[in-house]
Amino acid sequence: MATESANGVSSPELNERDVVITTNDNRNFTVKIGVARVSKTINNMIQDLGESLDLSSGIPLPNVDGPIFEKVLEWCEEHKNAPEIKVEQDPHTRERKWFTMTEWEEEYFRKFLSHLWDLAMAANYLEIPSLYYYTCQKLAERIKGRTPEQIREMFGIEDDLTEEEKAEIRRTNVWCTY
Amino acid sequence: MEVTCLCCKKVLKDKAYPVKIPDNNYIRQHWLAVMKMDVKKNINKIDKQNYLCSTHFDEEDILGKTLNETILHYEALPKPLKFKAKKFINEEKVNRIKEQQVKESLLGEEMLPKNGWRQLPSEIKFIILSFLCKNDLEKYQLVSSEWNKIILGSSNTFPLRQVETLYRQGDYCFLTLPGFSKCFKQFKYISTPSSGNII
Repeated sequence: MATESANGVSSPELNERDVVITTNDNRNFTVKIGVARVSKTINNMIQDLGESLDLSSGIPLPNVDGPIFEKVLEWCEEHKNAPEIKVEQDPHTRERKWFTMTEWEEEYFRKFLSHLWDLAMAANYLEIPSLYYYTCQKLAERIKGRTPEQIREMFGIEDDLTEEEKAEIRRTNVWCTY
Repeated sequence: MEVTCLCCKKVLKDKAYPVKIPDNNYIRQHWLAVMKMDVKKNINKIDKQNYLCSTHFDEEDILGKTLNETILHYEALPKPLKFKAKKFINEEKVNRIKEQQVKESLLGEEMLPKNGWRQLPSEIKFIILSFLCKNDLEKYQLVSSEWNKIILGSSNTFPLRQVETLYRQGDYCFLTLPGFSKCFKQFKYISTPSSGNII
């Protein structure tokens, strides 16, 4: 059987061709190369392999499982032609500007609310900046305004600061002394 | 005549020294409210057969006992219910349910990373924290030593305050920056402290 290979890595025709991606639970996903390339990790693999890329045998993703990759693919399909996101800071306050999400994106996160951590981990590994930053923003949204006690409960974090350390932090953060 | 306790529904026998429920509607309302009973539903149902057991009152409020009644201090109020009565709300249970609901709304399965917070890549922790404002960041230094380290270690990137202290001496305001013990800059103090106007 003749092995199909990627010819001309940067050619637009290549984006329309299918590639098989294998997740760590041995599930195979047939994806358009143009969609898979939203992930910088996969894009780098495709570019590195160049001529030797075997489209039918697949690209292995040992750090992502099938159900999460399915969700990531949904994001990639929607964002395949989207421009790179810009991470901006307010020049005066130095606070990060929050991204404005589209209705589709809001709905996406509503749908996968219980998988935010997995999405963030997968987006980090697959280098999908839009999904990564947006997921982290969603997680920050859920943290915002909570008390330290609530945060500890949320994440199962142990309170390992001594009373002296806490007093020191409080003292440092009280800044208006007149 | 056999009388029953409005509160615990016990039949009060001769030596039980029942307490007469006041006729005054205002005091009745208070009593019912204290006993956590539905005031609207019960206020007009009270009749000559409805009394209260003297055990619902503090001993200090009981001035004396006659053959038929217990005489109370004029400001006496029944004690809030402590016994288990099916028809009344079990406060402990309600509080437990409320706590559980708050906990669930706070936590949600999605907020607990599968392998725990410690196993998360520090890069993710950093990006999440980078979305928070300075007030939240300062507050979250108190979460744990790890959070404190991440926040302080990224003070160049995170929007932490540049001013550590601001104080007034005479006509001047002084500010210091983190890590500097001496006054960094001084301003002419113009307005009152409450307005906070400085030049």
